[in-house]
Amino acid sequence: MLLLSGVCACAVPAPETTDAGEGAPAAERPGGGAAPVVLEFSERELRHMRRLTTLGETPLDATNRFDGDPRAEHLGRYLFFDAGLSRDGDVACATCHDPALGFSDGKPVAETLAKGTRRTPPLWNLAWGHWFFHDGRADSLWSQAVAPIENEIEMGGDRMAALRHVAGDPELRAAFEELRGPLPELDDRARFPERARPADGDAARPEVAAWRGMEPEDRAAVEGAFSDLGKLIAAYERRLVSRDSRFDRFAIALLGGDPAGRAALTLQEQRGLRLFLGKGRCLMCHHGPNFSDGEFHGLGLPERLGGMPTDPGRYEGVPKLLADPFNATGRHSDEREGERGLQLRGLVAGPANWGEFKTPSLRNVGERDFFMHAGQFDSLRGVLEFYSTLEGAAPLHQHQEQVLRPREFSEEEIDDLEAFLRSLQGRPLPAELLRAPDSPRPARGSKVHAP
Amino acid sequence: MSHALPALLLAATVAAVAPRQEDEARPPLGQHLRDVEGIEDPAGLLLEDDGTLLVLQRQPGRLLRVDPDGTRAVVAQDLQRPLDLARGPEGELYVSESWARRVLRLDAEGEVQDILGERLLLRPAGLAVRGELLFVADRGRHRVEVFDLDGEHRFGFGGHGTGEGELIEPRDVDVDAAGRIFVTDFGNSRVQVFDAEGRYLRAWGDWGPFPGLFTGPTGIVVRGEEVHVADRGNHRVEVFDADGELLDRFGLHALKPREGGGFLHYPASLALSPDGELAALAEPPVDRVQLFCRTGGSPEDEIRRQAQSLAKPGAHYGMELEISGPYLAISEPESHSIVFYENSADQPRQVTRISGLGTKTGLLVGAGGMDFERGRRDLWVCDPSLRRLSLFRLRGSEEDEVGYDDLMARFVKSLDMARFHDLELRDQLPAAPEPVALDRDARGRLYVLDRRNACVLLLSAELAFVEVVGLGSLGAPTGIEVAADGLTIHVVDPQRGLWRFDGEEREASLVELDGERLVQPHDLAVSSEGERYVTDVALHQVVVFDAAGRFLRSWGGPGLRRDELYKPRGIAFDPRGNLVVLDHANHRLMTFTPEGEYVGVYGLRLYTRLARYPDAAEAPREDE
Amino acid sequence: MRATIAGLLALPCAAMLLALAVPPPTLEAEVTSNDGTYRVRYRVDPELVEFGERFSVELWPARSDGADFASTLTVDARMPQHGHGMNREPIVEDLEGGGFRVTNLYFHMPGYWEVYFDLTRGAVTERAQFSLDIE
Repeated sequence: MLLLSGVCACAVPAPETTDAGEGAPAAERPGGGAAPVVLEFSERELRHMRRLTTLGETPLDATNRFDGDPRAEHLGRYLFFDAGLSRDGDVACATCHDPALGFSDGKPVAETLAKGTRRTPPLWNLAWGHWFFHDGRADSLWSQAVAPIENEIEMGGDRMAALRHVAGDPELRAAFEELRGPLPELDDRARFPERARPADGDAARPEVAAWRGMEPEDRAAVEGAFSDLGKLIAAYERRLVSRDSRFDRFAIALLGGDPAGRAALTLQEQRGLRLFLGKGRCLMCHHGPNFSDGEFHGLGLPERLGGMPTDPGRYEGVPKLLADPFNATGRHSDEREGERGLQLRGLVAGPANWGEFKTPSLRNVGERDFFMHAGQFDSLRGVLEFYSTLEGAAPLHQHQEQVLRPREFSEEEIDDLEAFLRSLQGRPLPAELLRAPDSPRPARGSKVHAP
Repeated sequence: MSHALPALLLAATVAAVAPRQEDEARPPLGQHLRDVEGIEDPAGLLLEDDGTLLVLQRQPGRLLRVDPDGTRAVVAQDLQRPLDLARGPEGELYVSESWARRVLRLDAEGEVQDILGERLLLRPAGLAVRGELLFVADRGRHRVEVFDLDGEHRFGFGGHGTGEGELIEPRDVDVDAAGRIFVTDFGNSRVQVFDAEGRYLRAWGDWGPFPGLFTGPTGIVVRGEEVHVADRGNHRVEVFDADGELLDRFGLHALKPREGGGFLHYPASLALSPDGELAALAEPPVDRVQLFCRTGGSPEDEIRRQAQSLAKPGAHYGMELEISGPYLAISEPESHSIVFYENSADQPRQVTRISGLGTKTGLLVGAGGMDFERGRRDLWVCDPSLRRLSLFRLRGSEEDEVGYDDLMARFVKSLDMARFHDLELRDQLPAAPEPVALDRDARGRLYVLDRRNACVLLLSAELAFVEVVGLGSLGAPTGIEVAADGLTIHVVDPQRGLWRFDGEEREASLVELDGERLVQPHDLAVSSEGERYVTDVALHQVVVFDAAGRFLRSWGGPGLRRDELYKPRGIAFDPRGNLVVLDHANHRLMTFTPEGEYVGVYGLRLYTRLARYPDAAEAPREDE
Repeated sequence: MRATIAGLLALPCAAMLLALAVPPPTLEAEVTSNDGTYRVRYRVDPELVEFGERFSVELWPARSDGADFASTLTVDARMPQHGHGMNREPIVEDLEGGGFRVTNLYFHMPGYWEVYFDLTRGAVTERAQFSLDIE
């Protein structure tokens, strides 16, 4: 221990403040001025811990010109909670991405207008993301944000109706146009139908014919305004950051920072951390400051009711992404030649990508109700037991060596790992970020939270 | 693998299938009806509504009728490796004779009426008749050719390749009511669709075991809006709509020897009855046809079957075997890789796996014959699908402790046969070689068996062209062995017999097929006295001939016991002077003395039991 | 290393990350192709490759016997133990002086990777390669 805290060897660690002990069983918390018990972590473990804790500043998405603009964040938050964007006026982004439920919905698979096939992912730390959706079919937060609006089983709307909704509310319209310029002339019903959208699935719908009947310049104008809706929502979502968990405080303490953090993790949680870094081999995919590589892997997970996997995942996600007019190289991207655009170059998916899904971040994993891409597990423990035995996993490819091997954890090890994972709960966000603002524009003189 | 999920698997099976349209009242195909056993080497078939079966047999070269009550009658014989069967508008039958490079028209009694496609077809396989046109999948030229029913060629399309509209070994073809042409592109593991003029429309599928993917699609039948595809390597049938959306699938991988009852083993040809109520699937490795009807069986049966099938299948040895020193290599078609063993102990021990699926340099699509050179630890691998020879070199030495080393082999270089043909072989050979086997002499010269041009291509150790041998004589060669001095070349040719080319003049001699002692040879191993130990797929035997071509002895016969084999393929001498036989349809390696005495067995437990424990009482219980 | 930790931690910024890749060969390395036909000088940029970060390689291949290079180059990378490659195709550009610059190389997983330079002349393709063990 002395080795690791060399810089502050003389300091007596203060008892933890109310923040640090959250969730840790009282029995393991040191009392009074006693030094907290800390396992001796190796150089290698510390190296990994440093990587896991270093989030840094929240990145900005260059393809979204509104990113970082407080007025855009405010309007984006308004839109996030606005059910008027949906077909029947009763589903908002927040319906499935409920702030009270960790920005998910507490269900194994999403269900609003109809039942889906995949779990609603939480929205934490997506500003760091490269790929969005479980199958990576969007490459920016804003291009992801527009998709549910038009998804028949999610919000069931269409881009024309969404823009008409904005146009029909004077304050909303003013806020919107102030940021991105005038809306198209939606009153001209000859050019702009009541409802319109490109085909996706049922191509026989009247909205699709309406879209096809429009002039190309008008379609482009509608697309541009629609993509701006997504960009505003994304500007808000960028603020949904989980950081400063007990693990972070602990790691920083061990790496020479505020020594109070040494009490942030109980011994059990520290054992779990050690397993995470070692025997669990979790770092193969859950590495980096968001505890996710942001890439795609296949575990051969059975379907929710058992049986062979049927969801192609990334295998179909890549072609959809490459065909998406809202991708980073599309005309609505605000930086087509930047990083996000470059990562599309030469992107390939082959049969080896069949059944691969995005590694989710583990920050705030403890607050979730269901796990894996189709909510196959209803407890964190269930997930760990799966990794421990791989029972029920389908062979991924005939006769191919599987990268994933059963971890064969003991019961205690599963307990320890679970405890550690629950320590990844971040500092709560300001309450204001978790609810709809009163109006689309910040009130005069109101404080706008800095990012 | 736990079978603790059976109750859930039914729901999964049902849920895994896309919901059917409201207006389609028919339950899906997939209910096993019966097994028709003892149909040797079944290929193309036709099925009547009452279950009468017309089935071609590749090796005996016959067309058989099997009535619903089981009575069998030979309708036609002396067919030269017939692959598929189609019925014409007047009840006439069309049969593709792959070794005669033509299609025959037979009347309903099996009499030959006409010959079509000569001079144009190379290896005619799948057939379809729609309207007044005959469609032929030519797996030799990787094309589809279309004729009118009198044999006049109308048009063709395809050509070897991996791109849109290109094909690698198309196995079957069918045509829908709109005239769209559906082709199983076996080598590319996909289905391609062309319009009535042969222009590319779309493709679907990719290699893999998951829904909608294929591992070598073979038979295809289009009926109404449904496209049925026999997915050979995945041991199932998948049903799609015309746009490639997966609708249904049935058939599970057989694990036990000869298992039928809905469990499939490498299904090849597929047929539906005219009313669409019945389906027939040919399983060549087990000499059987299975019939299916529309579901109506109990859900419990389905659960049980699905649960059993989720167990991870074991090794599926390919057909090619190579032994040199302590090493033994087998090609594994499912993984498109070579499994490499060290064999100096009692049992082979796997030490590495070489290559994998892909079209990029160093990867394989067709893992064919190999040659291993101990000194430099060089392994040459033939890929007939990509028309490539690839060289891998193994690190370490024979003195190293034996253990698994997944980095043991590295790719060194490859020879692109199509490019080579362009640059140097245009005057020698009509088409780019498809290397299917090879051997080397002591000087390192390569003797490459080319199935496309049916010849042996001799290359120097520096990969320069030296010579062509056997062009015009060989039929459908499968195996080659060369003496160290390069002056004796043995070629196994299941269409003709056992060739030997002697001396610099390459004087040819032939041990001919005789329908009795030599029927369908696949590979050979040559002893120092020049005796030829030959695997015969049809006889299920090892057959031995002396240097002069006289029959010496044979052993084997169909079965699982230690003196039996089932469709044996690769054969080689091991360093102890014993013969190792790739007992292919039995998923095992058998070792014999040159006199045919059993020495040992290695392979899937269910297939090796009887050989290990000839006295059944000794055998461990079934479920161990 | 201890002495610098506190200083590094003072900056709440990603720049404080220590690279975790095992140091590769020196700035410019040379490798002989697997059958000896070519010699390839190459340089990896950045020198310490991290997974999840794009990197590029510059290389100058030549024939070992001094003959004209006159070959084409294809570049790929794989994790041979996992049986898969990268999720994207590398991009090869010509450089003056007979060199090549390869971009869009991206390792999405930690572990043992091999980078391949496949050199084709006529009908023969030969491979030169180097490996990176990314932690």
